[in-house]
Amino acid sequence: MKEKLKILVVDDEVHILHVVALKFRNAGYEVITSQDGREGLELAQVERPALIITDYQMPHLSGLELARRIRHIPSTREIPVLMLTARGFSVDQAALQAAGIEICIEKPFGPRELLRRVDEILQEQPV
Amino acid sequence: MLPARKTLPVLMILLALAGSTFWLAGRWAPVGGGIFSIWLTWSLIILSGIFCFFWLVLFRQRHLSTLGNIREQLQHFVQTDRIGMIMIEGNDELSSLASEMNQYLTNIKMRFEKQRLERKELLLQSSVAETESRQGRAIIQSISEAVIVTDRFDEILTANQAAQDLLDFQLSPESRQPVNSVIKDQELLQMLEQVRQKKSTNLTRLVQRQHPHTDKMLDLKVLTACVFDDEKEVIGVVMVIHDITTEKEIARMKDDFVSCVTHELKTPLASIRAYAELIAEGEVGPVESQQQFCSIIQEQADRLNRLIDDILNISHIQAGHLELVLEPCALGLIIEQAITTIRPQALEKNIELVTCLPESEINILVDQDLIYQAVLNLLSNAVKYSQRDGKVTVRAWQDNEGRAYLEVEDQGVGIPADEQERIFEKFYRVPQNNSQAEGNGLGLHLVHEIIQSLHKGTITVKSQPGRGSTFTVSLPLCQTREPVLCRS
Repeated sequence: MKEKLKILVVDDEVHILHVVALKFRNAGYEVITSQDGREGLELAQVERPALIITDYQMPHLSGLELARRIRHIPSTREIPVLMLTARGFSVDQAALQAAGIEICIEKPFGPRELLRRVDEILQEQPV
Repeated sequence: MLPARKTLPVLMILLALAGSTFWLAGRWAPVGGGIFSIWLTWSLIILSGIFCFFWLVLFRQRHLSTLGNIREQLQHFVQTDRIGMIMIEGNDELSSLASEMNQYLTNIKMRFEKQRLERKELLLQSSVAETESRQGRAIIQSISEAVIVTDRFDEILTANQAAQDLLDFQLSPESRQPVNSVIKDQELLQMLEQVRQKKSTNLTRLVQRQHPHTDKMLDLKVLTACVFDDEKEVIGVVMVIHDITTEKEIARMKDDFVSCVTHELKTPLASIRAYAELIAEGEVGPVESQQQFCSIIQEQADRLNRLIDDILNISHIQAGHLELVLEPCALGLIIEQAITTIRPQALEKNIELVTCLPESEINILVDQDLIYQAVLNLLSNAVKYSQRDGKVTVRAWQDNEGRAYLEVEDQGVGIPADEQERIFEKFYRVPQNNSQAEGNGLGLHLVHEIIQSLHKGTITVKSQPGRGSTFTVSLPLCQTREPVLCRS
């Protein structure tokens, strides 16, 4: 049986949270969710997830800023961050790299594809 | 009459004649006859002398008279400051002299006339050049871009007021000043120098500068080019500084708008795509869940549709393509229709909808469909941002100054004071309330456009976080019964 890895999903769209959580739970992951960037940062420190999936545009704290802060906190520095965005071409790729974001997936996305990318990232991670 | 120059030869002939007579008389005449011949000879000589004397006197008088005539004519020319012809009668030396003088004067006159024409031509050219120069300076002065023109000696030929304001200098009207003593911006000076040295016809650079008077940061496009003469020699440099701050701001706003539209369109689409895939792959579970998922897909499709409608409506309003049908409408009736539409949504959260309308009808001259849309958006927001079991109150009244009023009050989350100014902006959502309800940030913007841009009304908001918000709309009362068609 697959070890239950913990995934944190941060998105202000409740339906995206719902659908991503369902897909990853079905795939054997433990999923925690948040609709707010600030709360997501707190959860990342407390829960220490194996990976964070975050939306780009969120109230209070954007996904980019969330990733930056995660990189600056020693306990969360190594957590890979995957970004979902509905902003298309206007996302600054250099800013994504600077914030240490592994992959940016554009909305609308397929949950299956998202799961595949997450699996890949986690397989590459050192145990 | 014998010409004066022939008087002396005549005299000589007379004397020679007298001498010959004397010689003949002395050789052929008998003694005694010689005395007669001597007497005759001397008589002839004396007669010749007398004749010549009178002849000379007469000639001198005539000569003096002619000279006087010439002098008078010359004095007349001097007095009238013109060159004419000397007119004298006769065929003597003076006439000949006058004729030569006339020839000479004619030549002078012709040269003078030629010079006068050349001078006139030069004056005309100078006048044209001066007019063109003045027009050029006027054009340079009137254009909004900063323009600096230097001459071949690197001195400022002209610089318009915009350049003087932007680069903070004042041009001396008396003399040309060296460009580096007037302009202190080293980068611009380098550009002028670089263009001159390379004989370049176009050097463009984007720079940022702070406006010396307003301190506003400006984005500037600097274009520099040499001015050449016919021999392709550099006779100056022109620098045009174009303020592109507004253009960049518009481009940024356009990008932001496209980015916002993309985000708002893709967000519901993402839900639809993801739920559809889960259903298709059988990851949903029981039938109830499938129905629930389908219902979410429908809801998100409706959201997408509303968003597209809102964007199109705003686009039509702002482009001025919307045809308004202004007709007398009862405000109470529009409110009742909007409440009927919103009631199911209110019931879901057990929100009480209260209306306070006057007994008499309030007639407004509006496009009924658009005002209905505006009232519905206000009511929809009031319900969305209200807590369960809350209350939404709609009031309407009119004043004596020809205005009708509509008020929508809720007891919802409210809007922080520093956010209230921005809530009518396109795609703006209050960050603190974002998680309270779905929205695209277009609803209030559309209300604002319908009320203020299309109906010359006003909309204001009063709100306290945690205690609710009150939106007040004022519209002109109806003064006519006839429908009016107009274009926004």
